[in-house]
Amino acid sequence: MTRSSASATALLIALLSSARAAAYVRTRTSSGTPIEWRRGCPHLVMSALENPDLPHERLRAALERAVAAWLAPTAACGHLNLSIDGGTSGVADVRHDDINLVLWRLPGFCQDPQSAQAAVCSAVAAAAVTTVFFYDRPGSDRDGEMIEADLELNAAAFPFSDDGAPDKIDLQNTLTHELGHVLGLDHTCYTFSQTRAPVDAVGHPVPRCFPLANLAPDVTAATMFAFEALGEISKRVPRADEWQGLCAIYRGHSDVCESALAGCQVVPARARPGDGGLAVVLLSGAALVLTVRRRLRRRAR
Amino acid sequence: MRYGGLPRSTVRSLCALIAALGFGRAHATVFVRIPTERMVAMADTIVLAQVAATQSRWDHGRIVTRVALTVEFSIKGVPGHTLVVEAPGGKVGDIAMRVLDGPEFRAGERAIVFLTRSRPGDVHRVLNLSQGKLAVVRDTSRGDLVTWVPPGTGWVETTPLAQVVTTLRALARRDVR
Repeated sequence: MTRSSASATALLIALLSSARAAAYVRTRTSSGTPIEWRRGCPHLVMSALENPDLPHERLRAALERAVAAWLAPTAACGHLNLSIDGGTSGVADVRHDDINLVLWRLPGFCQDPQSAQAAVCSAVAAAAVTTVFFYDRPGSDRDGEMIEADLELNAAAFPFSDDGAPDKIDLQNTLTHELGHVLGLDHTCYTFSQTRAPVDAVGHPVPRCFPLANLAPDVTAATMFAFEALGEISKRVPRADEWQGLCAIYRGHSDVCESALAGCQVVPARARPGDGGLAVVLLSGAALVLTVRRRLRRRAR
Repeated sequence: MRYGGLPRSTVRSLCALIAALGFGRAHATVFVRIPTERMVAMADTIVLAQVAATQSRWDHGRIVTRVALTVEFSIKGVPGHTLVVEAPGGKVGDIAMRVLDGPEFRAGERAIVFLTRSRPGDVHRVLNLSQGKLAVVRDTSRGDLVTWVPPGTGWVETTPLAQVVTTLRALARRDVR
C-alpha cells in the first residue's frame, strides 16, 4: 500500500467517521453541560409489579439483550458498566430514591387519582418514559453528573410483546432506546416545545422532528430517534455512530476506543445493511490488515 | 496488477463494500404521533398564554414545576385569566430532574398550550409531553409565528399565530358539535 493510497483511505475513514459521529445527541443541563455517569455505574432494578403478558423473566431477558446491544460492542472502549439486579423492588418508584428502576405502568394505572402525577398519564403517545436526575450547577465539578434514571414502560396505553408482533410495541426495541437515555443520550430530532434547536455532539443544530419524511436517514434510523412504530425492531441494535458516541462519552482519558475501532473489535454482530458506520469499521480493518501484511513482507525481505 | 499498492481484488471489494453499505437507507414509514385534530379533541383546555413564573419543588421524591400562565385568550375551554399548570421535572438547588421530551417552560415565553386534567378542580397538566406545547416566536418582519403541523397535512409549517388560533378554534368548535 503506497503512502498516497494509505492517506486516501485514512481520509475516507475520517470523513465517514465525522459524518456519523455527528448523529448522536447528548442530554444537557440547563447551562448546556452534557450529562453522564461519573461515579460508579448504573445498576438497574426491575419493579416487583409484573406485567401478566410479559412476566419478569421475559422482561429481564429483553433488558439483558438491550443492555448487551449497547455495551457489548463498546466494551473495549469505556469504563461504564450497566448491570441488572438479580431481584426486584417492591418499594421503589419513579422518584429520587437511588434506585434505577424499570417498571411497568399497567392498564388502569392512570384511572387511579394517586397516579395523576405520573408522566405517562399525560403522555398518551409515549410507549415509555425515562426520567433522569442529575447535578445542574454551572461551575461545579459535579455539573452534569447523572445520579439516577427511572424507566416507565407504558403498558397502560400500549400493548407490548417481545417477539416483534406487528400490532404491538416491541419491548426490546423500546428498552434499547430508553437505555440510550439512561446512558445520557437524547433524541436525534426535537419537537415544537423548544424555541431553540439543541445541538448534537459536534455542535450542529439538531433538526426538528417534523415532517418525518424530510429527516435524513441518519436521524430516523437511529435508535435514539424519538418515534417508534408498532412491531418495529430496528432500534434493538444501535447504529455504529451511537456506539461511537458512547465510546466518546465514557472512554475517560484514554484513547482505547480508537484503537479498538481500528482493530475491528467493534464490528457489530448484527449490523444492519446500509450502515455507513459498519463501512467505517470494515474499511479501517482492511487498511490495518494491508498495513500489517506490508510490514511483514518488508521484514521478510 | 495493483492500483496504488492495493491488489485489484481488494480495490474491487472495497468499492463494492462502500456501494453496498455506505449509502442509501429506507425512511421510517410509520410513527406514533397524535395529529393536531386529535390533540384538540383530547385537550380540556387550550390557551395562548405567557409564562408568568415557574417554581420547582420536591414532591414525594420527584421534582415538579408549577407554571403560572397568564392567559391571553382561550382557544378551547373557559379558563380564568391565570392558570396553574404542573409539569414533571425542574430544578431544585443543585439537583435537576428531567423527563425526556417533557415540556419545559421559561418565564416570559409565550406558547399555545394543550392542557388536560383528570378531575375538575385538579391542577392542569400538559397533554402528551412536549407535543402539548407550541412555542410562539416573534419574528421582526413577520410578527408572531408558530411552527406546527397543520391539520390534515402531515407537513410542518411556520404559520402566523393568528392563523393557527383560527384553525384550532374551528377544530374545537367542530369537536363540541
